[in-house]
Order: sequence, then C-alpha cells, then structure tokens
Amino acid sequence: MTEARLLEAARAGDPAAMAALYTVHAGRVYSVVRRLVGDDHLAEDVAQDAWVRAFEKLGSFRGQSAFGTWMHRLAVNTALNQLRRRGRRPDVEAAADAPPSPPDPDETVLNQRALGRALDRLPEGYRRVLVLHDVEGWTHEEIAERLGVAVGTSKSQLHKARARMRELLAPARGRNEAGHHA
Amino acid sequence: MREHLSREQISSLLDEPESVSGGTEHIRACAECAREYEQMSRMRMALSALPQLAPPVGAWEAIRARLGHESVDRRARVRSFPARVRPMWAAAVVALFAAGLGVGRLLSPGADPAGADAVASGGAASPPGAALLADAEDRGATEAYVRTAARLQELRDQGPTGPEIAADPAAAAERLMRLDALIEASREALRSAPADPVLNNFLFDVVDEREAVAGELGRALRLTSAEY
Repeated sequence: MTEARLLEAARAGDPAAMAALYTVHAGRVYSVVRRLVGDDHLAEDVAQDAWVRAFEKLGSFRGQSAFGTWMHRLAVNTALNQLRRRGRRPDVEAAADAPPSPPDPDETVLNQRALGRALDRLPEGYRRVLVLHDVEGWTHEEIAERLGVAVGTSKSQLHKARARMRELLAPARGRNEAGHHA
Repeated sequence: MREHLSREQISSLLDEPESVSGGTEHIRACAECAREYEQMSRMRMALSALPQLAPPVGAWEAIRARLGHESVDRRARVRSFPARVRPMWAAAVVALFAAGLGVGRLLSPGADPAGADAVASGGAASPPGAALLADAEDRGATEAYVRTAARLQELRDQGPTGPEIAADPAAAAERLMRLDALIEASREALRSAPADPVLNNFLFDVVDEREAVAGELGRALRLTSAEY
C-alpha cells in the first residue's frame, strides 16, 4: 500500500486510511508540538487540532511535498498560532524566571530528560526558536519568515535560548552574567 | 581581569566562527571558554538527536470523535451491548456478508467481487444480499454464518506477515489499515448480533493484533527516525 493510495482513501473519508496515516506520523507531530508548547495537556489539544485540520484540509493537499512534511508544517503552524493566541501566561513567566533547580547527580547535558525539562522552562519566545532551529533543523530564514521577524532577531533569540539552557542545565561556576572571571 | 566570552557569544561562534571578533582565538587560549564551547556544542547535538515522543494513549479516538466518526473504545463498546439470549443468526449473516465483502473490495481493489461472493456463499452462484438472506434462512443460517465468518478470517490472513511488518514500516502501516477495516466489519456485524461469541472473539483478536502491530510500527519508526 503506497502513501498515495492511503491519501486517496483518506480523502474519500475512509477511517482505516486515516488511522494508518495517523499511526505513521503521530509521533513526529506530537513531538514537535509538545516541545513547542512545553506542556503535556496543551500539546494533546494542539496535536488533535492539527490532525483534525489536516483531515479536513486533505483535499487541498496536492502532493507537492511528502504528506509527512506537509503535516509537520501544519502542526508547527497550529502550535505557533496557539501560543500566539494564549500570549505570555504568568505561569510560563514564573517558571522561566525561577532559579534553576540543581541537576540530578546522574544527569549530564546529554541527558534527554534533563533537556526536555529545561526546554519546558524556557520562555516561549526562546523555546520556539530553539526547537525550530536546533531540534527541527529549520534555518533562520525559515524561522524569520514564519514568525514575521528579522533574521537577526531569530539568531539573537537562539543564542539567548542556548545560554539560558546552559544555565538551566549547568549553573555557571566561576562565571558571572557579564562573562567575567569571578 | 581577563574577560570571558558570554554564553551568547559562544553560541554565536558555534554557528558562525567569524561572528565574534577575536572569539576563536580566545577559545583556543582560554580553557574555561573552551570547555563551555564544547559543552554547548554537545547540547546542540543532543537537541538535534532528541527522540520522538509517544502520543498520548487514546489520542486517535479523540480525533476520530472530532471528525464525527465512532469515538468510544471498541472493547468498551462491544461489552456495552445488552446481552441477548438468542443470537440473531440470519441478520448477522447479512451484516457479515456485506461487511466482509466491503473489506475484500477495500483490501483487494483489483479482485473480482464475484469471487468474494462465491467465498461468502460457499462457492454457490453469487447472490445479492437479499438473496443470501433467503438462502441462509432456507439452508440454515448457522452454516452460512460460519462460512461467511471464515471469509473474514481469510481476509485477516492476507497481507503483510510478521517478519515483513517488523522490517518495513510501510508494511506495518498497511497491516494496520487491513486490521482497521476488519475491525469496522466485525463491529458492523456485531450491531446485528451483539452477543455472538465468535464475532466478539474475532474482534478482540483483531484489536489485540492491531495494538501489537501499532507497537511494532512505533518501534520501527523510532529506529528510522533519522529519515526525518
């Protein structure tokens, strides 16, 4: 069964074909949404929204790109739109401004759980650029176009996000905020 | 006091070595900044290699509900049917016939529909559904029912097998589609004969297999996530 036949059947409203498409791509969609929004419950809602929109708009998908690529973009757009509608929520700011908790003794910068927790603690503006650039591999030009900002702004946000991540993962030792020797 | 590079500057140097005047030279000379550069580089690599996350259990059912399809858990739905003392054999035959034939057409679009009819009716001339009902009533609904149920089992046995599914995500996806079609077909039949033990067992088996294949597919996709 090719993806083209699955898509054809899904466009005709076949639930089995829809389920197959969902099964193949659900992990990637949920991953990018979860990392962008930084919250389990919101991610579930946003991922559902993305899939419902996808199946409703499937007739407009002409196959210029792979379905997975199209679906991924749709999921990112749904997540970013949701974040924009919500605005900056107090709990997000509080989490971002709270002092970092010390890392567990067995965690290193490469520990994926620690990375995930640190991502969740980033301010939304930092997180969306970091996720799109470093996790999803978007270019600054693509990010700038999607977010409606300058390329320089995307770069600046990325570097601040990485610096904040490093602070969350490994609080500075012998290094103050201005970057001077202690 | 000798100034270190800030973490933002180090991040910038990671992507564009010429972006900070004297930055590269400083990192060569300063062990602390070199260590920070190395750790930030490792963090960047780790972020690019984060694994896929598993969607919440039940997410597909919720999406189906929003799309206007059936939404409740299949097992729960089957078990929620009121118990019947006498199975509705004749009605189940018609439902199974229609559902089984539908599945056959979906899974084998090029197949001769008459062939499916022949299997469903035990090799006799291909009767339409109404004729099958009359035929079933005349010759004994149970006999026709068993033959038709065998057709569903035959459809279940077609398509990708275990080794193919383990090795090829596309084969697993195809298997899932086949299983979903069979689940729909057996559920349709259960609407006519909700207490039927054969149909219920068939449905449970197919749902169990679907869960196993979905897990297999998930593992296969994690292994091939580099494709994304």
